[in-house]
Amino acid sequence: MKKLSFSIIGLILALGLFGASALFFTNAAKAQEGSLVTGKVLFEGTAPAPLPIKMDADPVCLLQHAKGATSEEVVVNGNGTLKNVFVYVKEGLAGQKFEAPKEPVVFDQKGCSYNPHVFGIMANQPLEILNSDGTLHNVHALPKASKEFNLGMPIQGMKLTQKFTSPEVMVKIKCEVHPWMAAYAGVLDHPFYGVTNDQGAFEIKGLPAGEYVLEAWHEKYGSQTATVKVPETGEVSFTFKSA
Amino acid sequence: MNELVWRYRFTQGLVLATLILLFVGGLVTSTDSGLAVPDWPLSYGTLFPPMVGGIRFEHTHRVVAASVGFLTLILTIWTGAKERRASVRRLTFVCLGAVVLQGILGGLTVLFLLPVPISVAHACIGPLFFCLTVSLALLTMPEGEEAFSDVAGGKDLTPLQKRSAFTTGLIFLQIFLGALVRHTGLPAFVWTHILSAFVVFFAVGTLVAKALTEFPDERRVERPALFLGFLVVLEFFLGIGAFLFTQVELAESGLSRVLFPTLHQTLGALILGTSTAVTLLSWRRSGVPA
Repeated sequence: MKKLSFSIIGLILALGLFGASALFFTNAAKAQEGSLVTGKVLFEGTAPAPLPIKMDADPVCLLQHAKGATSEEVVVNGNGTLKNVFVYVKEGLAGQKFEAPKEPVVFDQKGCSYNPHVFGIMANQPLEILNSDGTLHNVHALPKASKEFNLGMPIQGMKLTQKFTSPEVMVKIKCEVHPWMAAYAGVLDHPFYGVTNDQGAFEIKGLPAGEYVLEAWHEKYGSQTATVKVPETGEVSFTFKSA
Repeated sequence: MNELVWRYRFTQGLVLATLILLFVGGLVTSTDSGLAVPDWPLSYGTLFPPMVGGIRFEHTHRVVAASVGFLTLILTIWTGAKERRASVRRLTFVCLGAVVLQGILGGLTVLFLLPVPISVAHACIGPLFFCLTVSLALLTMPEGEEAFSDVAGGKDLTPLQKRSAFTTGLIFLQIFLGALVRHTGLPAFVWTHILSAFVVFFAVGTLVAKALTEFPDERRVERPALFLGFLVVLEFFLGIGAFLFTQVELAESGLSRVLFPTLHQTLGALILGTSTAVTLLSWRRSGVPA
């Protein structure tokens, strides 16, 4: 692995004693009533040049990227931050149970790429898979803890719903028709996760006050963890770097 | 031309078609296209899906495989109707059974998402089927009926017969190890496959020497034995290329990464087929007085 590092500066704001306390006492999935954790993932080092993708294998894909497409494996934002980093609570929630939302996570195949490229989902939460492209795709998920699936989606506008039944960080999803297409799902048994956006920022909503181990995962640069205390009021920041 | 010659040529065509099928099948693995078509026996619910991306490799493999299956069926019916030797008729039925089994295994790899045991079995039965077609081609040579008249006889084996049969077994073992490399990627299998390559190399070398010294005037054994030696040398270099491009990852992507392992795999089957031919021909020699 290329020696580059990324760092997270987390800004944790506790947003209400009542919400956090209620979460602790009821063990209910009312995440939005707890604290809001926000942060950024900074990229240190020289940003690699975007890798071009050859889409000649499918004219439909090629036509959608007149100026050429680039890989989403490493996306360094203009402000020196890293996109598509999955940040989640790894430890600190033992014994608590959270109900999976009934609303699905929407996962689209558009422009012969996956949108979102990295996402979080709770175990047993519906995953709604769309094909917005005018070409066929296969959606091949490779979990180890849940049942693997490989679905054909030959028709534009087609929708399918699947679930991952067990937590697993991360689950790779790929398309063998278009080998450049890959996505990663962080499957958790709680709702405390976020993914960095095109500003390198993430947010985790509803986290009760307490001490937690957060992990940041990136598909090329690996994982880093940090222990943080979420106070009921005030703000906390933290930074960590790769080894 | 009489019926025997036509049937012999048809069988030769099946041998060639099978070799092409092995190459196309290797391409599927090398391009990681095995699951580009998620359903079986149809492809995206149709007989002919749009040939884009990985579907080009997977569906082409299915079409060529179906063609080989059809050719085998024709040969089985033809042989059943015209062949006098029961052993040859039985062999065509074994061929038909093998190609059907291979087709089913291919389908199972798709439906069960490439389970290692089924994928490895699929990778091994392909070369075995190729050997069966090579054997059929030799046995259906116009002069084959007389030449192989004592193949099933209970005579003591000559040193060449023993060595060629043993070498063929070793080559198959090496193909099995190669299949484990391809379908698990485990370093232990990679290194075992590399080490056993030297054993095969030595075994083939001694077989070639034996064939040349034991039958200096018999070109039918000499030529395939020399061809076998040449193929093994070529295979050695292809193996080095496959190792560099897939294990050491000399290149991130590209044609070399696909072609080297595919050619290495296909040539492996051709080596097994050639060794089978040498083995059979060593029997032929014993059946025809010098």
